Amino acid sequence: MTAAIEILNLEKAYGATRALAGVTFNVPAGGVFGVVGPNGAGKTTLFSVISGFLRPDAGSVRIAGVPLVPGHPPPPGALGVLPQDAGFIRELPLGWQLAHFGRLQGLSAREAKAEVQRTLALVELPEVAGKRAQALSHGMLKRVGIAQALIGNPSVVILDEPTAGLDPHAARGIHGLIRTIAPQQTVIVSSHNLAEIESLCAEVAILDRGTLVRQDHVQGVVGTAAVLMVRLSAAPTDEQIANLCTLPAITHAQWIAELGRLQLDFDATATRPGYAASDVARRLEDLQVPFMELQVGKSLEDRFVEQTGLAGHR
Amino acid sequence: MVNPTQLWHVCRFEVLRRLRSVSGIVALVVLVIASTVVGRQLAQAARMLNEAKSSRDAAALEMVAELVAGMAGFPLETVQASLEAHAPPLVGAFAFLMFVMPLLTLTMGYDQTASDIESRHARFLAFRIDRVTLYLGKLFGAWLLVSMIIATAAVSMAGYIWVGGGAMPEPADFVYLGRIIATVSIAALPLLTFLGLLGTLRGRSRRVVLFTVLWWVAVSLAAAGLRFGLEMELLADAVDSLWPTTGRWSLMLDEGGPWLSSTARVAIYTVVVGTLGLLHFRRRDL
Repeated sequence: MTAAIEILNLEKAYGATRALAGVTFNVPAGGVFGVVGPNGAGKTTLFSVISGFLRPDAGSVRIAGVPLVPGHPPPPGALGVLPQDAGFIRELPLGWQLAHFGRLQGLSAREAKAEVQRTLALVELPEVAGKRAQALSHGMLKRVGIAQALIGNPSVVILDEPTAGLDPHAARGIHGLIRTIAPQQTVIVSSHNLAEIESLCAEVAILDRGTLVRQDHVQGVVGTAAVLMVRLSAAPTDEQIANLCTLPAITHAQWIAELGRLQLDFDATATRPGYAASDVARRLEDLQVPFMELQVGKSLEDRFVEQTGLAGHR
Repeated sequence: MVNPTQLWHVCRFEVLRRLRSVSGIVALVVLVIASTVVGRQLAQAARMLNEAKSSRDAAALEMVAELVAGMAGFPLETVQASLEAHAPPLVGAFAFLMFVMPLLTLTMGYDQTASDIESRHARFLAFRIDRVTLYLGKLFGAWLLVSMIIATAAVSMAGYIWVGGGAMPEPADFVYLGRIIATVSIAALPLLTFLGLLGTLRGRSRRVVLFTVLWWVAVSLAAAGLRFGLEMELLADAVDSLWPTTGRWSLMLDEGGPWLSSTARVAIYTVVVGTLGLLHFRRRDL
């Protein structure tokens, strides 16, 4: 099966700064694919090159098997993009602007109008077609931005920071929307919110300083370690940590202050993760240590910090 | 490479967009008022000329001749030749439109790509269509709009002249009216391509206006210094020609060297500056 997007040795520099330093990976067709990385990792540059906004210095991109010509748009109907900071024309009706995009994609006037209605209904904003951009909130504009990316039913949809600056309620709405469209299209999402990526994506690519650090299924990234991560409201005492280590399955325990979590390593060959977690929960209750979350394996955030060496950056 | 259908969609969108913008509406209102005032004066001149058909040096003819000579900077004899060949009030309308054309073009053409680059709206377009099509579509949209406004103003003034002046237009008058519209529209092209180039270089619409004004001042001062201070006429002419609308008045003439050289200059300036803008837009980050 052809990958939705194939990226090969992509390079892009801004003066002396290498935003992309030989990035290579494939995005499988179907589902939600996440691209994560700290600020300056090259996520937006990567998306900009794929979308044709920037010319790469070297390397190539294929969308659905068709090579992207640098400085030219992707093949018609192949790609829909929500660019990170792109804005609508403030003083014009949004429906008019969306219909214009549809016409540029080769739709007839009637088809473009129908497509505007369909995509605005999909983002649950059918009433904004006649409104101007200046009359809408940031969250609503994000949704209209997603609607414009869906015009013409592209096979791949790129959403660059779709929930940036949104309140949790609005962000949750966008998550639902992404889940709705994902079965039909390949959706590529970037976000700083790693919990969001973890809950949305089947597979992730982690970028750091312009290079690909790791690409794997989310389960592969977060679940391989035989660890339990316990989120506590306060640091445990040494006695409490020592007590937890007396549990048969637990081999090591340590408090990770920067994450606000207690990490407990266990012997995965001797004990199932679920049993180890139950034992730890009961023991914490006995010790009267209130915990807010108990997770088997590390979170994407923990893995992200490890993989990108973010703790070292600070 | 250029998709004509997409080019037309961009072009039409730009026209409608500008007509709904504040600057577009203000420019239209100002031009309508100015055209009305000038049209009335020209109608009055036409009426007087009608009444004194036999007299060649009627006061009305002098009035039009001085108006045209004053705006164009031509000697009176040059103007007289045009006034003899065509209906004098129409020659006056021609001169008026040529006079307001740079300001109209600046108002309607300063923001071809700049604010779309600034707000990154261009990104909504760039993954849908080729950049050459996008750039040319916006340029042609601005040109179409300027041409439409010029045509509207020209036809309105001609209507004033013919109805208010009480003279029946002859077929040659309609041909001359067509020539006025075509000439002023074509004369706007170098300035439009210049504004397009600045838009893609600067990426900020206000800076386009500012830089255009600064360029005009700098070229004028440098040319004046060379011409009057150092008496270097040829170099002064060369510097003068860096301003996009230099020599446009010669396009009003019926024939001869100045008309030819101005026509060639319009073509060369448009092609060279337009190509530079296009090449830069193709390569720039959006």
